[in-house]
Amino acid sequence: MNAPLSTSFSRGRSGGPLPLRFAARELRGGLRGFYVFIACIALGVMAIAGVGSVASGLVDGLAREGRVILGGDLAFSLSLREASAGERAFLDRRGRVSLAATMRAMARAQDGRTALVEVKAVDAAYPLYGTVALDPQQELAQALAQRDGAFGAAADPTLLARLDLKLGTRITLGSATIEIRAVLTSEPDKLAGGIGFGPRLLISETALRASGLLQPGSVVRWHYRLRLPDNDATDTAVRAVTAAAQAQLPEAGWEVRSRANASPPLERNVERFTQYLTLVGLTALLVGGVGVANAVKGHLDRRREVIATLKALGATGTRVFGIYLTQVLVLAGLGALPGLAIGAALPFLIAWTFGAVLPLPIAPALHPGELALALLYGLLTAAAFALWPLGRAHDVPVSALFRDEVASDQRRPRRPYIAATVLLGCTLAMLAVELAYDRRIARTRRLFGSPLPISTARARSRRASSCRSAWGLPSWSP
Amino acid sequence: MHDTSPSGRSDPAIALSGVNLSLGRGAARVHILKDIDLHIGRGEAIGLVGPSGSGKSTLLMVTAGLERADTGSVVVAGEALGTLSEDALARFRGRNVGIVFQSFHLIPTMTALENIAVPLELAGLADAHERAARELAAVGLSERRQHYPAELSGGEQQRVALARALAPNPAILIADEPTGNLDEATGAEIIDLLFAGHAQRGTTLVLVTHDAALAARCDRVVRLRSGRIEAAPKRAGAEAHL
Repeated sequence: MNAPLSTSFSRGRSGGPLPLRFAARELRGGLRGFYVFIACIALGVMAIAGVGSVASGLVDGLAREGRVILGGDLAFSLSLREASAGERAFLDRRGRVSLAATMRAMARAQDGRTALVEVKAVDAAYPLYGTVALDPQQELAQALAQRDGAFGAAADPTLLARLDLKLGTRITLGSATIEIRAVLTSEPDKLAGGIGFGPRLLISETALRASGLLQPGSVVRWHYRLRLPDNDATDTAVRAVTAAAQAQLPEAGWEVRSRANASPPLERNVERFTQYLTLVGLTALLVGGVGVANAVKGHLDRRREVIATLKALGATGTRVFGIYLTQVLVLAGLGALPGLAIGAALPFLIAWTFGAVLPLPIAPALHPGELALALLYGLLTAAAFALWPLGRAHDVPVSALFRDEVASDQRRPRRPYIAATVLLGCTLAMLAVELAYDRRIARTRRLFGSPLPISTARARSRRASSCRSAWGLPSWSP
Repeated sequence: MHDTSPSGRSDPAIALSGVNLSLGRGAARVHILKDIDLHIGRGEAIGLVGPSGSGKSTLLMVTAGLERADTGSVVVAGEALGTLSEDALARFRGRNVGIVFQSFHLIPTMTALENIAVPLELAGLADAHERAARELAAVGLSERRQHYPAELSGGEQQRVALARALAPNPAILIADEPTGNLDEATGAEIIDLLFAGHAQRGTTLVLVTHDAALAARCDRVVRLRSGRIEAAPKRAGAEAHL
């Protein structure tokens, strides 16, 4: 027969993956009672991973399309005045320059109706990057050219609808006569301008100057887009031009944007979008945490007899805790996996489903950092909410096995488990606050007693911040 | 004071001296064990009998380190249990005490083999499953190794439970009415296995039973009434131990 354990114990293994083995055996009983647990974790992780992935996809998309959105490698913008000859010469020496002037004006139809329009007057070099799509298809220069006593224009379809215009119809802009020759279906640098108050009316620079709208005090913004030579369009070159502009023309007072921060207003909109969706994820995780706690408590209540048996057979309270904590983490992992999969697929689904109609460029890709963080949040949430009931398992009395009464125990767990619960809660809260791009929200939510993770566009914010630093953009750049 | 000790055995497997234990709180607190002195020799088989509520199960729990005595000394397999921490008590049980419950208490999500291997795995033995397989064979259930408790009859479950209790080769084997949930024939098989294991391994056996005939198979019978030992020797040879 076998040797007594009292002599062979010391030679045995320390247990190694025993908690995992025992947890796996426990799970043979099925997932009954854990469906809500798994669903809550899956939903929360999916939301966090999805929001993070989509935000990163948008940030990457903006970065990839940066110079198309900006209209150049660099953009120098002036309000109320055009660039001086010296300033223009500075730009011309460094690459190809395109001028675009934007302002708001009233367009008047022949029947007397008027509409506010966002005028954009461009020169012949426009666009430096991307293409303008017109309907009917034609060359932009041809569409905007002066012909038969009128300047040409491409108009947003909204303007046509608002003033009941047709192609070929003439309108008045200031003192210039404008003929609508095309519908403007795509404008490559539209995103850089932010939200407009009226439909776009694209005209030539010549038409704008002929309109009489350029008066002292007119609110016109002059954008000088610079396309660096193709053989010298590196990031270093962009930084060099920026530095040179600051050094040589410190009094210019222009706003400089590089392709790395093509559209700050758009970035802010993405942040708001991310923030909103993240709140959905946070709520899901909070609900998930409550679900986790209830599911674990219910499970442990049902397993008290098994726990007592394990302890009768030599398992310490710590060992029992380890077995069931492992089980909880395995279950959390089971819930997190589909959440991660769906979250990771979300940018691809959005790009595939809505890519054609989205006004934002999205570059779907796998973002391991976002997924890892979502998984971490899921596991931490599960552990934080499960620790309390798990701590009680430590002290399930074996003696009840002799009396066939393994009743539920509502006592508080031991201090180490309480401390661990508090520690995990604080870790979650700190992680959420430190990684939140809007810490005010994180702190406010924390005040309500929930360790809410905010995973939003932290990566984007950090990248954007580090990009700005890396680009060495001047402080007067937004 | 009631002192029951096997004469001529200076190093008993179980030595309880002046043990008192009360359970419950406040007005519901009940003095269950009263001035218990009980010495059980190594390899001895003790039948613990008495009416319901007399303290038999509580005495077992104290012996197994599952309840702490309020006063008195409890020394089992050379260990003074009163000085051990909770975790140390658990490890002590794993090494030295095998328990057979009336209700079997097999783990329902583990196979028969895995149930037997549990105490061995908890002890960190690398060959836990091999040893468990030998124990399963010893109780005649080799062909049931992959069966779950729900797929076993009551008698088979108790045989698995017995194999599990004996697997670590404990110094002490505690059986709490092991046939209480079984029919007579099946119960007899279990008892035969129980005594066979006790005899082959030299394990000290403490058996709680209401069955006088079963108690009569033990070396000694210790009778409890209202928390006190009122022992009556069963055998002439055993009488000297009291």
